[in-house]
Amino acid sequence: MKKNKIILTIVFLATFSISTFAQGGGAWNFTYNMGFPIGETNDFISKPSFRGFLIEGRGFVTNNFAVGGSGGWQVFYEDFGWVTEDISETATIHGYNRKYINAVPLMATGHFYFFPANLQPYVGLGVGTYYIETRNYMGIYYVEEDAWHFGLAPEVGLSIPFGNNSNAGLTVNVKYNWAVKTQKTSGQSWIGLGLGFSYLF
Amino acid sequence: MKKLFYYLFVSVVLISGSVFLHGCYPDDSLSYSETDVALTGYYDSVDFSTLRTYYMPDTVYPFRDDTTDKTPVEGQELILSEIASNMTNYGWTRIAEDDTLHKPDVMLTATAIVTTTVYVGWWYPYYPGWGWGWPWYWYKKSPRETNYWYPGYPGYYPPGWGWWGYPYYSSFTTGTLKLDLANPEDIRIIDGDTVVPLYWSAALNGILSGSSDEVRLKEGIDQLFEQSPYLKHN
Repeated sequence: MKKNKIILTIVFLATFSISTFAQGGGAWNFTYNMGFPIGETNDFISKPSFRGFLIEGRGFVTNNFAVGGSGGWQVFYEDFGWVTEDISETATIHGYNRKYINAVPLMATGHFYFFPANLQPYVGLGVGTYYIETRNYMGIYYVEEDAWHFGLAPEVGLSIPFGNNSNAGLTVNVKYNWAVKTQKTSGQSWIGLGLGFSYLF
Repeated sequence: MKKLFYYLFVSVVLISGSVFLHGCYPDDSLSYSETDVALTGYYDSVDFSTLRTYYMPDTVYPFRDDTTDKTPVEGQELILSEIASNMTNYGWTRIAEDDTLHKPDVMLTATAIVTTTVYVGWWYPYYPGWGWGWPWYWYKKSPRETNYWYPGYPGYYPPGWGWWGYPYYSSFTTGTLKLDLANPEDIRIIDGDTVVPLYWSAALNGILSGSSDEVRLKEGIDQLFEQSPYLKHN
């Protein structure tokens, strides 16, 4: 069931992105992503994530505005070593504690390019879902929580084509990843920093 | 060129998709000792300062899948002596079973549990009938008050213990050393069952490494007491 949902979402996003080819002009972005936890994510894991990537397809519907889709993955991990925690007023646990977050953002996106020329600064917004799985280990035991979160991802970025006639370039962006809380799991948020390549068409 | 990127995109999505279905868990290897978890809890309506003497059988009760296997638990002497020395350090006096002058305040039992592979369970090794209804196997009889020392009542975790409801997952063969402190004369009727509430319960759980590691076992037992300062009298 969960797998079906994921696969369907990926297929949807892929086809959605590919359909933008028809509009004439767009970009593929492939970025390596870092994540800096804030809010409740920071309470769970404060260590930045250096394991992440994002793939985005964008197609221009006007000179300045592009729509598309994105999908990626960010893994947070922190080793807390030996910890002693009270798990209730009368119970105490001691063990080797590790925590993980696997976050998969899947978004429909809209981007506004200020100067669609050599330097291309843009602002954008992603609307969609974050599939987030958290694990809190004590030794070999863990508590797992997973949920599909509704999420938003406002973003500022810059694409820099390699040259006037080049259809490839560098891209850098900063994104506020906000996964709202669900009935059974808390919200997650982190600042994402993406560095990568753009293929412009 | 477009096609190239299209295929690249599709293949990256498919590969990453198949990977993330299993999640990514870097550095999830542990040394044997790092698998050890110590869990303790107490009954908060018990005044431990009034309890000073205890009786502990000289056997670690083996709890195995094969119930006919009655061989002594490996490291039994070490386990019992480490428990006794921690109790002494906390100001408790051990009463021997042939002591006809003193009746101990409480009984402390040690049980060694070897579980087969648990795929999904609760934090505490999941056994049907455990917790609210696992039978006490009193295999030692007090020479003086046989009835007291052989009640056979289930151990009862009073409300507020709070470690139930923790869904933990594991797929390893583990061993657990469980210590239970109770007064066998403190009999209650709960839901029609005659039970004895546990005053203190401690569990030391970890992967069985095959070779008994004395340091690991001793440190684990010490940790159970270290995180239970309410047992301390001095």
